[in-house]
Amino acid sequence: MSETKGICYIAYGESALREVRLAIHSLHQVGVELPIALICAEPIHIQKIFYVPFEDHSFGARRVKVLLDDLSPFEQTLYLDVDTRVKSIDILKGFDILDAGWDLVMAPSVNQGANVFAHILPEEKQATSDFLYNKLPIQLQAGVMWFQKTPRTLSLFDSWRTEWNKYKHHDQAALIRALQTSPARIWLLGLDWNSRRGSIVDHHFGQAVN
Amino acid sequence: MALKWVRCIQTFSRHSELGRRATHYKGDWLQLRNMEIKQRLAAGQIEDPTTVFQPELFNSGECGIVTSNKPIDVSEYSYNLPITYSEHYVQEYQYTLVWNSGPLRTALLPISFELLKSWDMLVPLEGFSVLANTIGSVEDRKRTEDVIGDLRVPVYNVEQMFIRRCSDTAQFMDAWEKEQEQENSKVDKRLSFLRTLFVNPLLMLALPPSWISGSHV
Repeated sequence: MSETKGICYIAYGESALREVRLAIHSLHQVGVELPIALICAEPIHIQKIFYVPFEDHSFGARRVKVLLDDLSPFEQTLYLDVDTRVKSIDILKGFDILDAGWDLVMAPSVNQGANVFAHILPEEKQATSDFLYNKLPIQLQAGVMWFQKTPRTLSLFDSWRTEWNKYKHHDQAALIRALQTSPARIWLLGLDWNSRRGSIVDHHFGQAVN
Repeated sequence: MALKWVRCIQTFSRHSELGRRATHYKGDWLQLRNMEIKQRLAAGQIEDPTTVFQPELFNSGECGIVTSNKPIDVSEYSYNLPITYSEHYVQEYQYTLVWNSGPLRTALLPISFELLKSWDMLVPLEGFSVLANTIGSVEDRKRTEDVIGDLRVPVYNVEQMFIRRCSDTAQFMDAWEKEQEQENSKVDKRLSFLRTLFVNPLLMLALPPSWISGSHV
């Protein structure tokens, strides 16, 4: 596959495979016709989907997420969690931002300030606080993100993998630590692009309903 | 006796040597004398200064403030940083704080300059819910949307910007200034900043709104 732009999902386990069908359906409903790649252990039958077989047993398939730069077949990728539902064709505007020269496009998490890294295990949270110069980072939500394979992005993913491998759990604190060593050109979006009831992407955060 | 930089591990309030009461939050940096360091170490309020990050860069002479504010209270804010008074950004220092208005969280200055070693520019967000579609005039928003494609993006508080001197930031600041010269005074410079940024991508680190406001959010 040599497509330039495409959409990537990661689905492991019955629940995720059920969710991904609904997620892809939401894309088609708003008229998105870009190629879609599904990274999973075994192919499932969904029309016009490109399968990327990959074995994984990590927490929430986070190891696969930090390998996306390698596993995605696209030069420009929109990664979506399987519990996202696309609500608007405006989702494609993220690729225009990449075309303008940005490495990564994503939205902040709704959890900021005192709630930054609230979901991170205490040991990793403390280590992250010790490691970061910036003790007041903005937490980014990596369940919806566009990236293109620039040297900076590849370096960032490399650092992200290194940081994630230290605790092998959630990916967000590892991303912020990685950005300290491998900064990238990040265009920030508002919550419409990635939040519960977002007008462009409705992210169910593990509580998806049919 | 020289002052030493220390980092808070608990929030506490104290009177500065100028007699002003200030609250220092967990993670903040401040300068203390040895006697107070011993007291606060014993109280578990600060880290051992021999083990924490020493902001050598901050004292290197490469950092400075460019401001249009006249006069500013140098003793309170500058930490002996050189100050250039100018209406426009000038590439006087390798690492510059462009400070137009708003309270300065001085405890965050050393960290900010340190972060500029890896980032081109640091600018606080206006707020997580302050989006480009909620500010400026209809005309200004339309003009911005034509450039950046979608206004559902957060805006930056351009009253305080940390800038590393390099060709990318020079080009950016030049382009932004030219864009502002073409506009009338009613145009929101936060929108012109977004327009300029979009077409001049930078290693931009967005800082939380609390970097300016002092509210511990």
